[in-house]
Amino acid sequence: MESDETLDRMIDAAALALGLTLPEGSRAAIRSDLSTILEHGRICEASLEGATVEIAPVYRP
Amino acid sequence: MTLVEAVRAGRASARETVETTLERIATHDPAINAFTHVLADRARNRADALDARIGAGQDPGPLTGVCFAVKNLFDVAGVTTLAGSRLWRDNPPAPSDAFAIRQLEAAGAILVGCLNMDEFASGFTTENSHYGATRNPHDHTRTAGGSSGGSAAAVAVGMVPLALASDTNGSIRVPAAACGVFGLKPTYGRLSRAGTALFAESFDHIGPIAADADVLWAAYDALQGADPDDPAQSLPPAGLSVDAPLRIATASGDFFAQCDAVARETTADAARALGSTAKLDLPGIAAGWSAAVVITLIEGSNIHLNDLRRAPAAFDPMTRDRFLAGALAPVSTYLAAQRARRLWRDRALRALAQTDVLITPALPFEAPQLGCTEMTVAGQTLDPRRALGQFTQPFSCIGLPAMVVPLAGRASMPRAIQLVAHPWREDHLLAAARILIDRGIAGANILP
Repeated sequence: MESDETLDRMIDAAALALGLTLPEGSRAAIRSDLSTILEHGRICEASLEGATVEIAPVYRP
Repeated sequence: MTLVEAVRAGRASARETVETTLERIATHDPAINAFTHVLADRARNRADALDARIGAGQDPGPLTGVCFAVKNLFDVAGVTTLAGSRLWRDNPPAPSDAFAIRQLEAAGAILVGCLNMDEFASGFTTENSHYGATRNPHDHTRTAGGSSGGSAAAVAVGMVPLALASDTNGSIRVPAAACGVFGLKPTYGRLSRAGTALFAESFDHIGPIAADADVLWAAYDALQGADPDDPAQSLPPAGLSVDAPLRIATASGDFFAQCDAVARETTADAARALGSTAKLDLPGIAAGWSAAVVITLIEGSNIHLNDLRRAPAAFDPMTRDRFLAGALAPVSTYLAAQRARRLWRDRALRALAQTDVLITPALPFEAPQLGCTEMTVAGQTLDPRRALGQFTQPFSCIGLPAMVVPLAGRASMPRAIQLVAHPWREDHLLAAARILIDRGIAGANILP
């Protein structure tokens, strides 16, 4: 799990690159939501067990 | 004789049906807050045209005289498509109706209004800060579920027998279960989404919510049809088998233990009524849920990136912060989620190889109180605003058809099960639901 400092560095770098201004008072909520996304991303990565699974360009069930 | 049969036979008029519907909306909606627009003139004009056709000996179709309303992310000619937002309030009105509305009206149905939802369909509780929360008709202190809370609540209180909704992660099924009505999310790509505001485009589906399984199915039939305006639409393969006895199993394992005792017991009751003792573990489902969470937030934020730059203050703060987090997430996380999604699909289809219909609880717990941000379920502290979709998200993530079937005879808050089938086998969902209805286990909880 990332520290608040690491999350802040990610947030500031990505916001600058995308031209996004973070609203006053939103940083804690964004940090928490980003942390949730990264945690779920780790669960996804772990499920792959190192394999590079193909991504369909247009999803079909 | 059903209402549709009576109107088709000229024994009741479509105009009378519309007037009764408008009265029910005027009576009940102030307490529920399901409607954002009531289209009384349009409905009356349409009803009069239907009555004239019936008087001339024509049959307008299988939904003749059925009043319906749509989640306000469907384009309605002459109405601004809000998608629950303040940001789009000053947009020009939609020039034409969404494909789905045209299909229902071609079958004789009558559009009467537009319905409340979570902003941009991002949420499971319809606590919309711009247009107010939609309240659960069975207990006004509780959420109606979301994001199509207006659709489910309008049906549950009997304002309309049919509503259109969309489902990205459970937005048809969660509110249908919370309000005790039927809801169908078909196979991904089955029904055209043209003329709707998308949320996370590789997940978005549309479908019906209804008070009655027959109306649900008639609407589902009417909604079908090839539409070149939705590039995600695809047609079912030819040669699907018919008439074999259904093979039914109940989902098991740690993932499905994360619910309350009532959810477990009602699911077991439904399995018994279906004569099923089989249990099915689904390896990889937790990663499937995670993939749904990641992809939704990143795709959802990307659709709104320009507005996040231009007018962040116009969003609901919670939606905005969630979307900003999605926009700022690394692409490697998104790609890992897409790969995990593909892997979960392969695993799920393998696990389901010998099963036609899977039964799961629809929700892990009953509809929570409005404003609730923390509760304890099965020994775990969780945020119900996220956990409401735990059992629905993994299946829409891989496009499987799923149906919420409300359980009959509930003295307290509604409960429901979810039925899941193979791609393109919506017929299996209906067959299982009909068994439950015929055995008195299932039925909508419509308030008198």
